[in-house]
Amino acid sequence: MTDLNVNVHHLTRVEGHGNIVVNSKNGEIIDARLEIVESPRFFEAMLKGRRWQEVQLITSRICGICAVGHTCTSLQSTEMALGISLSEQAHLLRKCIFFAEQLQSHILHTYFLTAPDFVGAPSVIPLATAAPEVVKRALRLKKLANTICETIAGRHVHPIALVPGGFSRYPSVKELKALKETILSYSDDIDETVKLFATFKVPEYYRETEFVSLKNPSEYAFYEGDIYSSDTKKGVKNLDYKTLIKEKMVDHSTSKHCTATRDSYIAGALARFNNNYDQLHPRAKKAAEALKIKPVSYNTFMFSHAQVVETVHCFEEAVAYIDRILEMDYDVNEQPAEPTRMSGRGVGACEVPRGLLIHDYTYENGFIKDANLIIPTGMNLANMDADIRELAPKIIKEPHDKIELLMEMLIRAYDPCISCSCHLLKVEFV
Amino acid sequence: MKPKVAFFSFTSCEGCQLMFLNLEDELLNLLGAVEIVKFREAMKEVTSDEYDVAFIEGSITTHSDIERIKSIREKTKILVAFGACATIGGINAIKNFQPLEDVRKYVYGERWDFYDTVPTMQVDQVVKVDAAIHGCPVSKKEMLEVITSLLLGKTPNIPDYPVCVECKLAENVCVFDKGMMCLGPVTRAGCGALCPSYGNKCIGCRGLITDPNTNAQKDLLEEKGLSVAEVLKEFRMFDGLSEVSK
Amino acid sequence: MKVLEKSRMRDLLAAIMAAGSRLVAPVEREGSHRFAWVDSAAEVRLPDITCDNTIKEFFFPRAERLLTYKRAANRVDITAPAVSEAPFVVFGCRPCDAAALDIVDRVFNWDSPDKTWNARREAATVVTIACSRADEYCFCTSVGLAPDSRTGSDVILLPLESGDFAVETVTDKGRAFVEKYAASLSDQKDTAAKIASVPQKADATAAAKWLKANFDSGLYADASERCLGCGICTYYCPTCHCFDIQDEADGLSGARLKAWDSCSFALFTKHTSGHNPRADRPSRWRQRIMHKFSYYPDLFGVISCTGCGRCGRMCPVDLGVLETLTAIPGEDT
Repeated sequence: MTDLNVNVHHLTRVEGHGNIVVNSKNGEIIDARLEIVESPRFFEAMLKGRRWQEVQLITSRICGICAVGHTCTSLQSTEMALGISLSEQAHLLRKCIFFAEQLQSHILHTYFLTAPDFVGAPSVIPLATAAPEVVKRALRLKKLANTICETIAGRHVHPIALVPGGFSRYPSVKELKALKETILSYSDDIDETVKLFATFKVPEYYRETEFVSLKNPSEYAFYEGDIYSSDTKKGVKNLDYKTLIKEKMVDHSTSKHCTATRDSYIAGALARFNNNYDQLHPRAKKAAEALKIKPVSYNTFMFSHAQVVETVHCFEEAVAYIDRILEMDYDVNEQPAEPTRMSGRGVGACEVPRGLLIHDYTYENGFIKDANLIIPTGMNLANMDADIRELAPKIIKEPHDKIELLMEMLIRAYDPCISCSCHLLKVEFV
Repeated sequence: MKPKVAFFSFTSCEGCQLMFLNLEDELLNLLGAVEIVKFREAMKEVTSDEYDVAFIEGSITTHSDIERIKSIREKTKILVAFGACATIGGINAIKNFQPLEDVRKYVYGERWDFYDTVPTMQVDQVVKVDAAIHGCPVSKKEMLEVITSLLLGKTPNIPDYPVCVECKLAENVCVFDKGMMCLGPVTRAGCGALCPSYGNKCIGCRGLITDPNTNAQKDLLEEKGLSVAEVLKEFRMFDGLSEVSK
Repeated sequence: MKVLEKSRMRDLLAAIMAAGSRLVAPVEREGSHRFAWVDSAAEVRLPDITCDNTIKEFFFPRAERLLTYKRAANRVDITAPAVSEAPFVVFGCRPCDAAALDIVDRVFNWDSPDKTWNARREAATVVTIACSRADEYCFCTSVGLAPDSRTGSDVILLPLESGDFAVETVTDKGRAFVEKYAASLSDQKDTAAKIASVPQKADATAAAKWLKANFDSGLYADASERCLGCGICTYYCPTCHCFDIQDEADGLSGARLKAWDSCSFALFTKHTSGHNPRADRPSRWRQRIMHKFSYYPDLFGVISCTGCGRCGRMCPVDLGVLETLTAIPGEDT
């Protein structure tokens, strides 16, 4: 048997830079790992000494794709630390823009990044001529998500109106009404998306693991909830995240690994789907049925299908939330709520498209003294590595390019956002 | 033959590449006019190793970044710095104002020396840059202006006047009059004064205009109540590499 | 004497619109007043001095298409928009706003008449309100105007103690206006107007001589030390009229635009060669002052400033042309 040396240098169609390495000798896997080669960015250090009003402007720049998620999580942390409570309308609108970001990110990931694998194309670009209707639909839906973000916060990359205590500008009732009509006009595109993904053949794969996500008794949690593990079946509060999630140094690794109750866990759409399936919108449950995904799914390749289910959910919820805002006593001139203290600690925890995101700040006199950020992709790195090691021996007899493709699909399934997680740099999973 | 276009990202959030993908209405037309030969964030295939136009997103912050950008420059006819990280260093330069060893130790603890980093540089500090698209993120309008100008062989029309101009044209109440700080008077326009239009202040993400009166701007911020250190911090959020932040 | 009763102002505005005329008038936005196209009389809110913006943008738009082109197989099709303009009324501007129209008329009818400017001037009836209040930035009396100057207006409304306005016609166009809307006006005697007093702070007419003799004065460097170069003063100036011509193209079609420009910007005079004859802020500030108070009077016989005070009022660092004017030494020094 020939020795195998798969090295996918700078994995494509993921956000950020990573290498997949799989080496075998005499039919035995000797080395299987995902290397993160993104340049370190040092956000925690950059936040030190920054004033409370400008922190979210910096943290938004952690990731262009999850800019709204980082901004909101950052604001949550600041607001908790400084005793700022949001008005109901600010709260609803924050949640609403969250749906839009999930939509934007999931459409990007499912259509642009993973779909080409399912249809044997190297990227979405040849699909623009081969299946223009599909590409145009993807662009339409992406534009819809951007339109929602633009109406609520000025733009998606990087949102402007989201500030501590609320919004620096509220959309007018007229804008919100028009937005709702616009969203509703895309309903057919959502159905077509489900239909398309239902035709894709997902590789068979099973590896039992732990799922960590937010859980909220009153809704399918994105913006807020307790941090929940499928192993313990219990949730912890934001401030106690360290009792569940541990960032530890591993002897054979040069980087921190995130673990909860065992060696690795999954965060992201698949974890949310598995943990919170019951709270999905009925239309999303129907989509799950069509996509043949059921909780608990231990097939990592089903990530994008869980994202399609969430796309349906977010589409419906965005409309429902706009309705709720329009029904309430909405004050377009409302000013952001003010801090009640200038020192303290706060922990923001949100489900951003790729999973649980935690921002932990300690303020002193209105300036950041300490900051710690835990990024979803960082959470998934250990599980990615475990999956690579699980899958590699099973496909070792396949042709080289098929191994490469399956490995890429496996990592891409997680929708890794490596530039976000680069403060967990140089992960060596040997 | 269609011009070969490539996208590369260095230290950044990759939001500017996303802004390119956000050209939903124009994307298919653009794809008809150019051949995208490398775009790692969106494409697996690499169809050419020589580029007529290369869009460079991100700052240069490691030794390997330096080698990589030099090698891209050798294969590129027109190299475009794409977004604030590439044109002015952007927020990546915040770390330059702390000792880099402290920065690495604070974030990575005892394993700090595994993390290579050099002081953040904008792309033209390492290689020659032929055109720049400013902003964090870049604006769609300006991105299209630069791309179409390159295709037509004309000089792109990039504003070199301050954000105040567009802010007034947007009929906003002056940010200073609302009791907030603003870098609009010395920051290059082209964004349509989006931040002030959405109730926020200008944070200087597009870099300084040619010949800005930064002393007057500093005086103004001090007059409005900021300490000298805070005034510097305002500039150092995005313009850390410019003279004014020193 | 014809009088417009305060309570009937909205009736008049409604009548203007009902007669098919478009209307520019002050509206309130976020606590400040602006001249804007209005759709209903109810939107109109009169400020007690002038608005933030000027009325020049309704005659000389911020950006305007001069032509559009489309490339076809062996030809280029060029379309220029028509220059005809439907009638409109500018209501509630101040004497310093109206006077500016008369000043800019001269440059736009100098070597080559500006057809679009003239068409809009022709189409517009300017109904001015004389000022009963001035703020610390106002200096119309320093440039030879007054809070009740008639220049540039077709009709002037003089504020009365009661809050009503005495209506005085200035031009034939104004006379036609008053006749047309007579139903919204009433007759009154005893119409003593209450006009603001604006102290004279400088003598702009005398300044020209000093400016010519002191081209290299340190005055400009002093003033421009504070100037941010943001261009706000020029965009808000009722008489600044510089524009740039830009092409916007997307390959097979495109447009040629005429857009406001500003002498405050470094790029304003930059040559293709890279040389810039006004490369620093003092020389740009000098140009602004010289153009208004020396070159323009030499060419056209009027100062290109109406003392509206916006350059100082709107400036982030409180720097207006008045500051330089008052710094010019008097005749005897």
